[in-house]
Amino acid sequence: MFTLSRIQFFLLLFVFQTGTVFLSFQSRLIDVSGTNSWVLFILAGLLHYLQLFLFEKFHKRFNPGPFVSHLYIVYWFFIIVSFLAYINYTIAIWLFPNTPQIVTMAFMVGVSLYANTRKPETLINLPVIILPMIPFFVLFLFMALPELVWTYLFPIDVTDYKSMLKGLFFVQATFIGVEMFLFLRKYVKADEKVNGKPLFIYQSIWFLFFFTGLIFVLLFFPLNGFKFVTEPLLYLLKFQKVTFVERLDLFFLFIWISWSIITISIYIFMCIHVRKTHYKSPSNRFIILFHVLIVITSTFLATKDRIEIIRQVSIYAHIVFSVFFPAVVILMNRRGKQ
Amino acid sequence: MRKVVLALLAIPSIFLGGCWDESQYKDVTIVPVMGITTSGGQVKEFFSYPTFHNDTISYTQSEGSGISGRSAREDANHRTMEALDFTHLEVLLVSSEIAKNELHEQLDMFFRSPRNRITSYLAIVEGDMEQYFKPPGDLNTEVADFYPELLRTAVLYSYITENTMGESVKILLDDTIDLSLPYLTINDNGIPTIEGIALFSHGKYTGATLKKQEAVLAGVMKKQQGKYTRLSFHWKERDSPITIEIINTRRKMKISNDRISVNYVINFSVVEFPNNNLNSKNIRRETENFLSAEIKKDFDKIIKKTQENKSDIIGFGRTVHAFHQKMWNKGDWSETYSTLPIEVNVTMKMKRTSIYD
Amino acid sequence: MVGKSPSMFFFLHKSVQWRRYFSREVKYMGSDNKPVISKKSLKQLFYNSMDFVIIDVEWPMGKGILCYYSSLADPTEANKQIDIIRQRALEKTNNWGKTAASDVKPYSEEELVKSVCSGQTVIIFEESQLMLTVSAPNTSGRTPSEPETEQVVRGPHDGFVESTQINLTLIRQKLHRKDLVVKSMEIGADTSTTMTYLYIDTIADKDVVKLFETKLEDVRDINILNTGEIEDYLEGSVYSPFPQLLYTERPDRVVFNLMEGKIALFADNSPSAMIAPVTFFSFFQSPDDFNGRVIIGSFFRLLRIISLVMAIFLPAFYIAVVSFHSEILPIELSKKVKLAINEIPYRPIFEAFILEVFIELIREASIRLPKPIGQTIGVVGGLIIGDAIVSAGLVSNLMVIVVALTAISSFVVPTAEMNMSIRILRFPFMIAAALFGFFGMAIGMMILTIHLLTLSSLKQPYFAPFIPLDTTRFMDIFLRSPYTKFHKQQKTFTFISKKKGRKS
Repeated sequence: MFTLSRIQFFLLLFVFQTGTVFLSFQSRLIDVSGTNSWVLFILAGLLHYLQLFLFEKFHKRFNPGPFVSHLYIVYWFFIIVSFLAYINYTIAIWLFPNTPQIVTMAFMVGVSLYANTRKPETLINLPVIILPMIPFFVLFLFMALPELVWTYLFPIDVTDYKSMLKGLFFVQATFIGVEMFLFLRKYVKADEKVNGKPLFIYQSIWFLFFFTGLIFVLLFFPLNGFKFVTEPLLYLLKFQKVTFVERLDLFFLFIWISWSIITISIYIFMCIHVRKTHYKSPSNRFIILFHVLIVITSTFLATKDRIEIIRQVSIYAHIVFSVFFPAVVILMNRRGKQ
Repeated sequence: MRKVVLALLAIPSIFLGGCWDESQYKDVTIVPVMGITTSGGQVKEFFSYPTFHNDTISYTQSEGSGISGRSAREDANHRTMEALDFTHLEVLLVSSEIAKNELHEQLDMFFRSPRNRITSYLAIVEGDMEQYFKPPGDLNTEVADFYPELLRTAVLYSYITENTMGESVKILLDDTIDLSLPYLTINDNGIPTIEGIALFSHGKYTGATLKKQEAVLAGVMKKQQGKYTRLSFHWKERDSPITIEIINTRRKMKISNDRISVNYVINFSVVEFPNNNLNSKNIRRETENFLSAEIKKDFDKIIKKTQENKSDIIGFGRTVHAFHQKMWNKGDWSETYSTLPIEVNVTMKMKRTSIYD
Repeated sequence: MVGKSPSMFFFLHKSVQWRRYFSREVKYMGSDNKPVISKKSLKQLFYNSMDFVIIDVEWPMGKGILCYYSSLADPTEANKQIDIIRQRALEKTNNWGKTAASDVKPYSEEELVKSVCSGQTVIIFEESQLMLTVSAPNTSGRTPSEPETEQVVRGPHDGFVESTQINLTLIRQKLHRKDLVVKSMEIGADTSTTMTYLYIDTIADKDVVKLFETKLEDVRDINILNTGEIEDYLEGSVYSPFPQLLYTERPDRVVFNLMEGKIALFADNSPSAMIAPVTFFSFFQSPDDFNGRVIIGSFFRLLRIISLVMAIFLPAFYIAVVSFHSEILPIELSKKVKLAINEIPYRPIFEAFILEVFIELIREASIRLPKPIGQTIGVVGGLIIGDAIVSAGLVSNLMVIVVALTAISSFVVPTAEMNMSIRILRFPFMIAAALFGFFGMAIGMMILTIHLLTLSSLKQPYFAPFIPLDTTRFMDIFLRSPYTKFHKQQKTFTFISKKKGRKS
């Protein structure tokens, strides 16, 4: 069994949360709540902090049985598949229009297969690959700074309940993966403090990461533009004119692909690992089968229509699995204790 | 481990012939300059591009026509040696007829394939497009090199505000500001020249333009200056020309229910003034006052012209939209703008005389 | 020289204790059940080798047979030593045979062979079945000079030589601690090589030392002449492109590593020390870093990391650009690139392979050839053929720049093994780039990283401090932070290992 240091734990959680959505959530959010979205996101940040805080408080009581664990595995499988389908859709548009999607998919999942047949320590340290990428990402992003129009922040109209609530629903996409806190928390070394300052720092980094992305995108494009731009961050970089290289977006795309592959690998790792806590260690055959299943399912889903549907569904599923189930499990556990 | 290494070596070797999405750079022709025009309901496109043979570069041109921009492109491919590739497009020239009707439609194809460069310059040309590709005058260089350099210099010297394809589309999609694009004509010597900027309203070219110095001043009003912003005036009372270089501009907007007043504070340095005597404080104040009046006059003229054409290129709409919803919601912004009383105040401040005395 | 030596052993005194008849040959004494020790049998034991010298000597307590390999022992020095010992024997000193350079052991054939083969001079007393071993080895050999592959600008310019004794001297001179433990082990069934390993007891991890010892124990019966041959037995993943053990010929490097809690292994007659366990980044440290100033050291260390990235990715990057992503070329460059590659008949991947093979050929040829010719080959190969290849239109001049730059970058890595590995690594990346452009490279990079994360050196994480992630140590790896203390080798893959017997 492995242990995690505080930094490893938060880095993993960060990848779980950011990997799947940071490229695309802005567009959908701004589409429904317009200039209000940044205010909304501050609100969402508070909610997220509350959720993390509660998780930290009650994490010891979160001991799901085999049934609930398997529900989670199914849920994660769904997240992996929907995300992979989305990545491949994006890759097909931006990079490889002629390559059969199953090939790119197989290569990406192949990396995960390779990682998942190694020791668990390899996987929990896998997020280190993105560490050198983050400064590049931020640097690329800040090149757009002179072109931002700050008046796009306004007008704010918080009285429009309907669009606010709808936005609050879409903003949940940035919370996906927060349930991993409960699953991974018990591996953190006992002598490392998580509550209080470290948790706040994590929350701030999470918030700043998403918020910066959102603000940059919001200030860069006019509101009408979001109907055309589905991956605003990619387009934002595509609009940049730098002398040393053209197409900054392409470099960013590869940062994002690596980021995504890591995310997928550790999601799959969690599926296998959680299964392992209830049954004997799964054989390599099971791991291979699981990967093949992922490739097939996600290839099937990688068209515009299907992606639209599953992305919508994934937010509902997320709310069920990161709010409802943890609450039930924690409450049941308390009753059991009494 | 061993299996993985073997697999890694074995799988690629199958594909060594090249993959699905390979496109060898040596097999494509890069097109730096392209022009779009319409004739008789058909879209016609002109391309100027370098060809490479025996270690030398020569330039050639080609054209194509079709029912849309993209189809004209495909048509041109029928008679070029290698496939035309637009990933390095530097300048897109658009005829004024297209700009008056369907600029946005013509730009769509550049955004739909991610390989395309969308930071290329966009410019409106007046008259026969073919002339711009085969100018009657002697350019001393190739068309494919001429336009990119011309527009780059124009941006550097603030003749035009930087208008790339991407930025233009952003502005086209934005209700709060109108587009202005560089406007090219062929001068008496047969050489393509930047005449000024073309004004747009509702995404369509109005037919009106701002001439050279006006265009520079419009950039100052927008606070979008290039590296050098130089303005020349003739000072009648002192019988002397004066040229100034603008260092920076501050703008303050006051918006009440039915009027806008804008205050500009402009810092400048004098780069030409034969009359001199600038070491006297009085003369300096006098110069500042003269320039303030002069520039205010020009600003008023620009505002009048844009109002007449319902073209808010300065972007008053942005502030109004953000902070004055009441005014914004009065109706269509272009209409509101054209009737809105706008008061401009200019304060010029001389920071440097650019000479040691 | 051999003929002269008997005259030196002129006998003056007769033994008081044993007055026995000595014939020319030692006869078998049936009742005592002693083995026959005769000059003939001894000669036969050493296969009548020409350099095996055997002489009769007289000793205070009887006759003896003196034998040695003239190629290994120094007879002049041996005579001096024997004179001293004889004096002690005459004076009847207690333990007269035990001095700093000699020892008395019971006679056995194996001991005899071992002692003679290690260069000692042996006197056998047939009567008492004892033998006196005198160490007077022939000390011909190199003097410690700077190793050619690991030169530094500032810092000590000495290097290991073929003799372990001298090497240990070099280390002891630098490391004045009593807890520097030196142990040795004889390895080999037919030939025996002394493996000497050292570690600092208070710093090195007990488990690691134990693991190291058991691993050495496992190969006790294998004939080994060099540390290189033992490498395959000590490494965890033999098929990994990365060396998991560090070789060095520099004493200061060994000392640095010992201070970090590592183990150094010497094989007799081999000038390079093998250090284990190591991390990936140990290969990028040069003693120059520590001798230089902080900013300069940091700059060069960063330069080395950049050169690593370039050496692996540059040709792949170029291939990906010209065959997949030509749109990223800046405008100013695009025409030049196009002009350069427009009429090259081959795909970029073949172009790259032609040049890479060419460069490797030059490199290999210039190592084998005598020095003056080697340089000529470099010039002829690099300049003349390179130029001809471009003007023949086989390869574009840009590719020449790329490959040359890559070759230079790969030689920046301060250790020879690692720079070999890196040169090999660029080939899979080139193939990946030719197949899928940047996407292929991204996939390759992920696999490489996963591999590095999994790799271990003596069961210690190879890619520390990335596994387990310890951000506080990044500064020490990428920069040369102001010198304060040595960092211990990371021991486990996670921060605490509670249970043992985990799969790894």
